[in-house]
Amino acid sequence: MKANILICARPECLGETLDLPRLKQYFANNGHEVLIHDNFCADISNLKLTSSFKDPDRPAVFAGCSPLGMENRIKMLFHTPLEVANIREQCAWTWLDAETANRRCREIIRSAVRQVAYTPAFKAPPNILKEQLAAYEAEIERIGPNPFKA
Amino acid sequence: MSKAGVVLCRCNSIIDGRIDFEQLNKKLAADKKVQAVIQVDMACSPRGKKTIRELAAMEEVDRLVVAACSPFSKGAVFDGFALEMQMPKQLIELVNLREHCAWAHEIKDADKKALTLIKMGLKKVLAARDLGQWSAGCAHVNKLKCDRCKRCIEECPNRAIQLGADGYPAADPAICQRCGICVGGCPLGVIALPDFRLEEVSAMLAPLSSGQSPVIAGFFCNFAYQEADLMGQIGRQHSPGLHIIRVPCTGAVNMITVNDAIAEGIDGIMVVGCDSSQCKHRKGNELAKYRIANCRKGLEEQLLEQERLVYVSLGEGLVEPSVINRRKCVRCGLCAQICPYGAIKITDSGDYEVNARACRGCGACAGACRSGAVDLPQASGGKIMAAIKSALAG
Repeated sequence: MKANILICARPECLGETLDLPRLKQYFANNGHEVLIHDNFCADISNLKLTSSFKDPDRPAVFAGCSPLGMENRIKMLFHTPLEVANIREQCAWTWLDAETANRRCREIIRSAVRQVAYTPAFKAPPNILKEQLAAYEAEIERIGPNPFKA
Repeated sequence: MSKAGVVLCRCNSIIDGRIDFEQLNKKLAADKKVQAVIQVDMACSPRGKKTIRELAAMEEVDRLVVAACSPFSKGAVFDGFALEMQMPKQLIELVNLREHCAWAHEIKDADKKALTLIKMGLKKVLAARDLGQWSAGCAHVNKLKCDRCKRCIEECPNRAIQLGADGYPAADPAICQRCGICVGGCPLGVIALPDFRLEEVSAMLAPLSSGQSPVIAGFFCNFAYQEADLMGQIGRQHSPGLHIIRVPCTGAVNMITVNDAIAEGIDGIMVVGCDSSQCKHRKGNELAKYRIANCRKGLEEQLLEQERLVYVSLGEGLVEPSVINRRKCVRCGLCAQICPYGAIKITDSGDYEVNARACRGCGACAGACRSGAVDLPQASGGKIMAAIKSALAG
């Protein structure tokens, strides 16, 4: 399966060990479309994708930081299934030797590309916290402030 | 005297894009209890770690508040920092500015909320004392104050607390799961976990009292806390009046803390955890509900409204439930037997189905099914095999 691969290339994040142009070439030769983004955090922060793929309906792979950090927020930017390849914590910050780091990076992204075929698209759950909190705040407003506040 | 330092993490401009760090820096620097305030681009990165180490060395700071992201995101990183800096990890408090403030509120509300959250973190680390719980590494009973009522022995879901040779209860570190149910149940409040002591939690409530009504303190169990993280991550906002305090389980909320919160002038207290019978610690939420019901009676006796204290179930959007493929299912019922949350039931037609609200996505059913009929959407068999094939291909 061919995928859209977005690599976050912020030097403060990934350092300078990884050879990203070579990585891009490797996956492009295999029929995937690869975009290298200089500061994807800005897109994540604004919840708005600034780069566009030629075929946006392909499943996507985001190569950057750990899925523990912002996976769900990144998934909100794509309407297709998305898999996160952790090339920061498990590669750039782990391997100091450039050759090993680049090889591991390629393997991690390749694994994510294979896995994305089995990943369902993200469905944002309802904001139950907001609903429950709004109901409780209305109740507190009805009974008034805590008398100990004074 | 304790010297606290504050690290403000910009998180690649994600946090400081929504919160005014210069104002925050100024206000924190004016606080007498704060020895130093620094801003770093990514506190979790190797470069950020170096800056934090330099701060600790130069300013002789002995405890830290790191205002960054969720403990479920980078908590382990800062635990590692603590180890490297030979600082008990309870002396580094990670304040969740990203998921619970920058992403959860409008910009106009986020600045004020950020300051309150950092002050809560500061109060917690400044109140941190080692009363023996750090070396114990599990639930620790203060024998000087314990009256040997044995309630902790009765309520511990893992039977980790037993009566010692000296007649006082003691937890077995090999069995204790640090759920805090004993901390929540102790009528004298003399039990502490390494990173959870009632005095620290009560200290966190003080900065809330100055907030505008309604001020709500939310005691969120780890599961509900992750749901609040998820809402922040996907950009779903909630009222800034809620101040979330993470507890290991709702059973760890002691009613002494609730009474402290009422006395501080907090308008409402939400104890937020799992739905009935869905508690990872088996009976933490049921015990919490029982204690809340009793505490509400006490509030009424003090002529206060019962509604000031409520239990709320959350955690429904956090996991995608497992799916049963009826064509493959041989109806052996093993999945229903093994499910720790009782989420799989047999229907009238004889098929097994998953109650999506009850499923916690642990995958026990998928692992047990001999015919491969159960799958977890986020970790399906096909997905795992794809990763294995990729690894073997080299």
